Amino acid sequence: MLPGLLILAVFVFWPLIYSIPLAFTDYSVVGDMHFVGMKNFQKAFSDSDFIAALKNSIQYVIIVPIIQLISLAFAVALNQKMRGVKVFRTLFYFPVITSTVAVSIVWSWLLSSGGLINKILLGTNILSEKISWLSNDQTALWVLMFITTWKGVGYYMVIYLAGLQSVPGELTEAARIDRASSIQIFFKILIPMLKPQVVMCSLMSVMSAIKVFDEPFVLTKGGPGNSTLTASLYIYQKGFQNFDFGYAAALSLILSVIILFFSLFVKLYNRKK
Amino acid sequence: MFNIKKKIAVSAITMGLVIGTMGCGAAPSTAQKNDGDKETIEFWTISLQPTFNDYFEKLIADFEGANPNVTINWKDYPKDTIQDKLLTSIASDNAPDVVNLNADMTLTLGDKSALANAEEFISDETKNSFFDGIYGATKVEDKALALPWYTTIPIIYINESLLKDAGIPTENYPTTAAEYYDWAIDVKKKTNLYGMAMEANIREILGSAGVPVFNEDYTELLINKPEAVEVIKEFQKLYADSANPKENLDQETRAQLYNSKQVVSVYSGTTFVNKFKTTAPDVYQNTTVIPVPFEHSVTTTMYLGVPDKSKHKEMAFKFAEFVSNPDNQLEFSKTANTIPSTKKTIEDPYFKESDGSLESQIKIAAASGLEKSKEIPVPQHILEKVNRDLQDILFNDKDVQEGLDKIVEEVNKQLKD
Amino acid sequence: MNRKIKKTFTYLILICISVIMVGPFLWLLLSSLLPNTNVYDFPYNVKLQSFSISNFTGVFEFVDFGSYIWNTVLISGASVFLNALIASMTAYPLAKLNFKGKDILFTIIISAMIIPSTAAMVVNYLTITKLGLSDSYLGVILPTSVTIFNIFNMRQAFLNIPDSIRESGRMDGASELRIFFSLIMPMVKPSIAVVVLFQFMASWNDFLWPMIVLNSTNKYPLSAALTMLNGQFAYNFGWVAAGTVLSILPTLFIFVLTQDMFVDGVSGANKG
Repeated sequence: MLPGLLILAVFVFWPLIYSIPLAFTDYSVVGDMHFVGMKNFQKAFSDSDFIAALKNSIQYVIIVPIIQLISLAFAVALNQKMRGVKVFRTLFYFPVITSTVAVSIVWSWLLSSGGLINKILLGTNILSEKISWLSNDQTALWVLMFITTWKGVGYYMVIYLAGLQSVPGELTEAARIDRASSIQIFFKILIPMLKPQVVMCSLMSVMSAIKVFDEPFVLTKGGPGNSTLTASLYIYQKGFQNFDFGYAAALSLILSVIILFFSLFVKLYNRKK
Repeated sequence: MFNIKKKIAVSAITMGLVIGTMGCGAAPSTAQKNDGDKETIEFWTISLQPTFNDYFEKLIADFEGANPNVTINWKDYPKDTIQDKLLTSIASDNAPDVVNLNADMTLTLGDKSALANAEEFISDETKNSFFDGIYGATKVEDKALALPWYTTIPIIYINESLLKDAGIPTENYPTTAAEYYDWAIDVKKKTNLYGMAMEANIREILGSAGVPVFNEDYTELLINKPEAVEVIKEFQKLYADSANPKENLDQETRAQLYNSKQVVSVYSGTTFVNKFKTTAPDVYQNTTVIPVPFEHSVTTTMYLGVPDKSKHKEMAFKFAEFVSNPDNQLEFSKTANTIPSTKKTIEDPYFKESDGSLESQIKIAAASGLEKSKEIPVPQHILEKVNRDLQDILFNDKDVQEGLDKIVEEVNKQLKD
Repeated sequence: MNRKIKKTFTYLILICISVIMVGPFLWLLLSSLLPNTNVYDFPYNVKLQSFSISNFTGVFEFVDFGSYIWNTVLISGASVFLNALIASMTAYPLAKLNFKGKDILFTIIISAMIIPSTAAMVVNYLTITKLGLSDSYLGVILPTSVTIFNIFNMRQAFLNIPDSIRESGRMDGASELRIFFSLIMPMVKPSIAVVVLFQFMASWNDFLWPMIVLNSTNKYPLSAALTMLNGQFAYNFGWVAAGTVLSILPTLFIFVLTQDMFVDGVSGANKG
């Protein structure tokens, strides 16, 4: 236990402790540092870009229940004994291992105005004119949310598959004999049995949704306008592109409070259940 | 077995010690840097290894030969990581001595006083050897933040087979901005493909059109003046007519659109040819290039900066001068197909010779654009915001004057901070 | 008959989902195998002769693949091993032993997951240089040698183990350490497999941190070396595609390998 705590202390807690006081300075790494009091926080609350970014990050949380339900369903479906199940598991895991750069090249290509997705939607008359999915301020964020879901379900599927191994087979067998439907088994037996995993995955999922960075970073850079600007992306831009680490640290603290709030919500919600 | 309390206590003390030793600030660790009288100059470039190893090995050997007490330590990092690497190295007091930067980054680092003033170190001869529009761009308040090195000039790539298919003449290409916009709309009507591909950013759209973007010291954004409004309105129309694609046009997307024959002409730099030469040989065969028909050729220049924390500024500038001198730039242009930033270099007959290949056409078209070349840096700390908001106006048909006023107001506030 | 239709239907749905999941990768694979073909110009005019591995050989010539793979295996292997070991040993007391402040300690650990640390990379780099570990593999590995997620995951697994197991071990006179390694660890195999899989993936793909720590290019892991393919001068989409395909294979291999560990196939099976 000791080495683990020591490593965490040095490489996780120390940077955290280090960055809290930074929020009250104009630290830039490359230049001199001055104490600025609450100025960074005052600036944050009147910073319309940051507010917009927070809104987008919170909107992103919508994908959490969707990802969790899909990955649970995948895990249950692929936990059966059937021919080729291993192959399907591997195929479902592919988005997780495809690198972010590759994901961005392929998806921006599929989603471009002349891309395959527009061709299919036009061909089937679902759309009457093509949409530049990632350049339209109405669709861009939803598209990113879709891509995150696509990339994330395989990840949680693995955790649920591991969790399912501790669910005794007799339990579902018995339910089946009692003529319970698959859906009933799913919601009444499997989900309660997997509760620790569901709580853990939901928590992780909430945190990574609010902190989402990769997809807007590689696909839209936050645009058009502020429509896909997320809090993490904005903080990154303030820190690593503007060298405004003091302000970035202040924004991080504000974001932490929000994540804390959502995490408590997830915990309380599950406790009630 | 597990005496937890004791272990926690020990770990807390150890943690305290570790933090304590680290807390005393970044003490300089220069021991390994000085080797007797020898000076070691650390030189960083962006994405040039391993392609140009031979060129740099010779360059470094030449410099070391002339300055026997100097060792050049060359390192190369990809574009996406060099900035983080620079930041961490400056933080730990191991800053490189000469570093390859783009103009935006140069301004942002200059804003934080992290770069040494070149004017204090280099000769007048060196200062005057560069194109003014490029050297002057990174000069703020009489401080030259960096020396220009190699540059890229935009040209227009045209897929002629698409024009032929639609019966559009493949000669007398547009020579003014207005002609080009009309041409693009006409091409769109006749081919039902995008006529042009320019990105919705201030450099390409407003910079090319000759609209002033900043005041001289980069403390004020000027893009809400009537002439800027007019250009943006023109582009709104180009987007609305689908003459220009509503996409985030990074180089990769431009390549996708051009290679898939969805767009007839593309505005891009001289290295864009690499994006379709091997991957779309059919497109390569049908491509021709013309100089940009705009007021300015907006260059993308690589600069050489010397961090203020460098311990060998004098020698660092000497080396930077050497790397960017006309002869070495000529040699590099020939090796890498780039455009030099020194006036003398461009007079070399090499820039007028053609062997009939697309690459030499590109070289000639680009070199002819140097006369009207202008570097338009946008300080990195406002770049993303300006471009995002501009995109919103252009893609989603927002009110131009109102939108630009808002950008200018917000950005100027940020610049004053 | 009904059963057969149901089965066909299940497979049909699974295949449809697979296409969505694997489609982008397939396109990348195709791009890597079709040099001199315009992969954006759909539908392709492809003959069998167009297929070639020249992109792959090109990548091999451009970067010294063999030594980079060795570097990556070294880094990832050490990181995976350390994580599996340290995370389990840290999580076990948090789940099973009783000591004062246990819950507070766990809460503190978890809360660190919440706070995004902007300056972490800079601060960690300072720490690594202070420890004299810059330009060393230890410097690359150490900060990721245990992650909070892995501790969290292992703790969850230990919680599921009934206390009676520990009791019985103790009755046999086994030491706490022996109980841990020979009784408890085998029972959490699925979770260890998850740790191995995720950690391998994370360190195999991480390129930024190794590049920050390492000064010599020849020490780079593969992911960092592959970023060289993205330069404006050396750019060749076929090579990028080939490099990406190559870099995915080891993770794929690990997935196939660990799959049998986290899915027992016996206890979880419930229908045919």
